[in-house]
Amino acid sequence: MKLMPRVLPIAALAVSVVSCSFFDYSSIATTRYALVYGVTTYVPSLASNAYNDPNLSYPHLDAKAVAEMLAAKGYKVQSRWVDDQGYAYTNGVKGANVAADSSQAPTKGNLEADLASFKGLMGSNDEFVFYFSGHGMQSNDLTVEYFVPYGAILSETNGSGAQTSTYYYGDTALSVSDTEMGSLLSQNIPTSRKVVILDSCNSGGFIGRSLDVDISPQSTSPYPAPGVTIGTINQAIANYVTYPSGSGAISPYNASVLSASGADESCYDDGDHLHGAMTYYFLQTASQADFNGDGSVTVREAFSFVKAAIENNWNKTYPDCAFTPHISGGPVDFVLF
Amino acid sequence: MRIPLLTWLDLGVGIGVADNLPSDASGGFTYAGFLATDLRLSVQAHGTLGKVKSIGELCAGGGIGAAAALAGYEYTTLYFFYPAVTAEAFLDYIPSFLPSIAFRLSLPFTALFRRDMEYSLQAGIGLEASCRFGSGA
Repeated sequence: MKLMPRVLPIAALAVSVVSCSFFDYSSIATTRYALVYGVTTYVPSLASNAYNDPNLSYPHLDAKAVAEMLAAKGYKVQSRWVDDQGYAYTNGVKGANVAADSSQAPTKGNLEADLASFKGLMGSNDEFVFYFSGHGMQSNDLTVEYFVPYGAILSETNGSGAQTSTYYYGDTALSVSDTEMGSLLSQNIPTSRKVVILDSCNSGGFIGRSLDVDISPQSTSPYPAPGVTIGTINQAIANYVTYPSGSGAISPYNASVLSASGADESCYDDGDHLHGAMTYYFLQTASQADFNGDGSVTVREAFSFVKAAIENNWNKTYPDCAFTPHISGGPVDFVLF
Repeated sequence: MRIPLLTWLDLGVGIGVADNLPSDASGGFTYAGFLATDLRLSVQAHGTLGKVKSIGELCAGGGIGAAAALAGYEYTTLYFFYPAVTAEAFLDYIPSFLPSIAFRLSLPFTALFRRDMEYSLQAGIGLEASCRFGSGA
């Protein structure tokens, strides 16, 4: 019996298999860049016979707070947002009202130009974060997701006489689809360290899947998620066999995407906190999401914090408006803060 | 579970769990941590180092094998599959009061065939309990 006390304490301390980096990256200079977009006002003056109101309440506050947080954490931040009065802000500076001049607004064209401007700035070891708060939408066949920049809400008039109403809708050509965003990132951002954070409906559709299987459903249900099943194992093996084929959205090897919601669900403005519900918790991650205590917060740590906070707070308070954040897979996780 | 093939050779069938910690974040990124559960098949050669009737038997040996793993990335709900080949050196303690059970301390080395990584190797310290069925020829 003398062997037992000697063997077991050693084993009990070493049940983890440790993987480690054999390389010292600490001398590599990484500059962090961010592009932050938010759209609160999509239509500066609604038609008197408006059937629906496309304007939101807090994306400008989301964009402002995220831009300030990233700047405080050392990011070189560019930003555009439209506030609740219709004024366009560029890099935090108030400009014209978009009703008179939308040239500085966070439009699709400006997004393309802004992304292109990073091409000559960045090196392969730099990190890039794109953040968007505003509307998102999904194609009728549920296969393509979009986020909706300023200028992408159009209107149509239906009916006749007193029954006439103006209906506002998101235009797909003026919006940014999941595959378009993937292409814009791969063409313009010359680093593999790219992070996309979307506080918009249907944003889970921007996450491209390759090897991994997400057991969190794309539409949140009041019933418990099934967890790991035989279907999970089958799908994971099928993904392994068919690699590198995957969905047409943003590949995990192009950028890591943190989405507010699943592909098939909405997310919401949070009137209690004056932010998008996801962004309210994302803003807390820099100080609260270093789960392993290594002094840095990675994208997946931030995701884990945000997902738990949404599930434990928002979803319990508003079960009819429940939603769940999602995250890209792949073997690499990037440091955010 | 160990099925004796010869007095010095076993066929091992088992379920393993390996917690792979993330790499350090000094370069602005990490190789993400994951928890893997695998089904493994191996052949294991062993020999007796010492035996005391009242205490039990201490054996040493080595083995090679293959595994199929389902792993979940840390902090996520994402799972992925990979096959692997393993080699290990081990020390077994077989208590005299439980002669069909072996408690193993091992030094496993595993090559993970993850399709999105050029190389993925794993080394660590393992703790196992195994049950031996029958006796070798």
